[in-house]
Amino acid sequence: MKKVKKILALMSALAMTCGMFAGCGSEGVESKGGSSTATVAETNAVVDTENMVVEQNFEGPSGNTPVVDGKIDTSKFVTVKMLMLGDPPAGGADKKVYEELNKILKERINAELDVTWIEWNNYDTKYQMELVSGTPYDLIFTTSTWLNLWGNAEKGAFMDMKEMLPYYAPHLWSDTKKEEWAGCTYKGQIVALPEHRMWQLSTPVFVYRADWAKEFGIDKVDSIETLEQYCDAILANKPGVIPYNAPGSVNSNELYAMWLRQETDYVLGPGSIGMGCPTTNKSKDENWTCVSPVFDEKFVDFAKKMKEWGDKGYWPEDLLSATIDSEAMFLSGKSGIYSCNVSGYYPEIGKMAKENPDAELDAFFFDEKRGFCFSDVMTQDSCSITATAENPERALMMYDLFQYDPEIYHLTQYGIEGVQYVVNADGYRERPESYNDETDSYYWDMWSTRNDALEIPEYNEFEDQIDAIKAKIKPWTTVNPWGSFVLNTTNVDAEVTAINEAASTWLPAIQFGKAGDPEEAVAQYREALTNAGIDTYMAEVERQMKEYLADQE
Amino acid sequence: MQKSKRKKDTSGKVITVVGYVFITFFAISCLLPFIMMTAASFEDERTLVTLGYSILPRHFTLDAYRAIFQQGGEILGSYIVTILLTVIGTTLGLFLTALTGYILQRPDFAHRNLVSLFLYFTTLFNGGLVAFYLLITRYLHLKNSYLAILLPSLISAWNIIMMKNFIRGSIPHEISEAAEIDGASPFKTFLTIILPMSKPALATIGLFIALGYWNEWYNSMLFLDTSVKYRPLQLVLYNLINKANYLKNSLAGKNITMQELPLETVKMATAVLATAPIVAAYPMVQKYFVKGITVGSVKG
Repeated sequence: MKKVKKILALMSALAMTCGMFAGCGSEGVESKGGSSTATVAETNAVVDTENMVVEQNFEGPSGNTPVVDGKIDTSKFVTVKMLMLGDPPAGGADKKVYEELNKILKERINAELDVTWIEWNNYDTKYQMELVSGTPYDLIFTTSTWLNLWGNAEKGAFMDMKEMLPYYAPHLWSDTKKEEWAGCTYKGQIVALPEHRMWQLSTPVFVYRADWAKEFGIDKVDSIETLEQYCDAILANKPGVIPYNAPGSVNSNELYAMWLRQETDYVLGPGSIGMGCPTTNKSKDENWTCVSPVFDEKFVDFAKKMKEWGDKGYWPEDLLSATIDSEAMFLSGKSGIYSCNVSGYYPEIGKMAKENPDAELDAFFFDEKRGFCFSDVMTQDSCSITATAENPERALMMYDLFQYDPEIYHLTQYGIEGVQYVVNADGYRERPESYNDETDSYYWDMWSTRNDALEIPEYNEFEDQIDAIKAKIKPWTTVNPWGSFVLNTTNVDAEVTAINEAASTWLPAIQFGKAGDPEEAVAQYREALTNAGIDTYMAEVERQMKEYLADQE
Repeated sequence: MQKSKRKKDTSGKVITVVGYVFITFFAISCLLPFIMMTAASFEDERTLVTLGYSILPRHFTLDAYRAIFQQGGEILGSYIVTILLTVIGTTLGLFLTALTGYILQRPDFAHRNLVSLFLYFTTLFNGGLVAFYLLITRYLHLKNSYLAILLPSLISAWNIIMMKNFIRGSIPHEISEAAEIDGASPFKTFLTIILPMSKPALATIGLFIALGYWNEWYNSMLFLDTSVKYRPLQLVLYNLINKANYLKNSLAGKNITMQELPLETVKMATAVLATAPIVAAYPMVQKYFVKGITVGSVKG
């Protein structure tokens, strides 16, 4: 019986590809005021024919939104519950925006959205509690980098969307490449929606004062040597300025990050661990090998160099115990360097222009020498459906609108036109005059729906400069080569804890030259890592990588 | 005799002097951070960031407090919620603790050891956070209800054991018996005889409970989400202060613009607001507290 049904379905799918049902698009199922009910005919063209069969009838996990004869039946009104991370806008403007949004959603897909926020404070505990208590969120924010997406998927917290996607999220389904879906797949199940339509690249930089550099006769700071010249010149010519006026913490790794990218071939990948990253992947080409840069001979030279810099006074003597706002120091001209990611560099240009119009900024891109930078994983910011969700189908329809419908996109991302934003004559988005930050502030924290194609840019005085930076780094973008490989640390939990402990004890001290004799410090760091079981850890990483590669073939 | 007395005098003086010097230093080291915190809360943000902390504000301003109180009266509402929770929780908690403690030590309560064990057991073993969360949200349905904050802290096994030991040690059972022979009902005995006689214990335990409610933020964090308009004070202040830290140490921070993060002076002002009522109320309850410190100790 089932076989017959399958065959039938296949045939009907074939039939539809031939365009026989092309006219169905306009018919749509009568829902209360519903007009643009999507049909399978529309979605069929995009289905990954290799492993996906779209049937004429599809019940859907909840049964509230079945596909009948190729049309989605939205006659039952439902509420989609969504969980986002963040503090809700203080003035409560979000509620007004959702009111507007729900009017449109009611008309389009006969559903409404109910948003719950998890505040930043202790978000990890609260998020985990929401999952274990089985609250039926239809859309839930998740990420594999800081909210344990894969771990929760392993525990069965999320629903497999593979079957539903072609029916209910046709635009997303067709706009996502196979390898992009691969980055969202866990053990054959699509458990997350990708963040793939907003280009971004995380590449660490040291922002510096280009006007000072010119004054010192330094053309450009783009290497460790020129950085040293720049800092020496600050010490010699700018009394009261500390070249790198920053606090050190157990998370400090910026100088190590600089060294890795400038002096070695090592790349940070799934074999890396913690903030100290004592293990990395071997190189861009040998990315499936796990190594430890700390045991590299060059690491001793790095330690010596940093001791030298620390002794010269490149950073405050007491930085490991101090609390300093390094950004404020940089802006007020008390520091020559500001360490951040490139995304932190863009706003810095405007802030500095406001603070000190004479200042010119430039940045030392650590990745420039090697000329590549891995893009973020697909699930950097992501969205899932919980296993207990009551309306996963309507949730996907809604998500598809969030990301691909211009009207709903602008409403969710920017707020209500005329209240939160207006589009000026030049096509830029700006604040209306009536805008009051206390009552009208609005933002949308489901970041994965962002879509460059639908963005209305905000006017930025420094747009040219920012565009120049983007143009410079965009060619470096290299697709993350590890796909959906996830390290399972269950077998090496104790080692991971011990290695992180050793790294956070030694790395900040070594990279700031505060660990005494550098050779001895490196020897001690290596010993601490060995005792922590770094060899066991690396062996485990290699084993899992081999296993993954074997599975892929 | 005289010699040794004189000797004792000088050594006594030395000890006194050393003691005073030590306590003075200790007091200063306790007071100094508080003074600097208060000063910083009245300081201009820019001055604080660039020049650091000082004993007196260099550029006096009320900006930080203005920023806090401008949030639509939220802080004020939070104050009221916390005060109500503290007053109701302490009164109710004290009554229930004393009642349980009293019953548990009465020799004519047959299964008192079994019940005590039952209570004591919970101090050693418990279901952990997940079980607790599920109990409150799935079974009692108290998510986003103030009861989720009030109920869990109402009774603690430690306080009951402390109360039980106090009553057993300082109020002989004969007193209860005498009262009952005179015709008092058990409840009246408790109300009119036992409660007034346990004032020192009540003061100490009351202070514990009250401080517990005043400082409560963890359960509020778990059970009251943003749909609750007025949440307990400590949670609101904790959120304000720690948001920056959470974002700084997390990749989540990359999606957030830094303007939304609180300023250093605002953090200091919130700390002042959180501690001020306790500092103000402390002198009034101090005498009970000193007396109560000895409650747990052996009585001669």
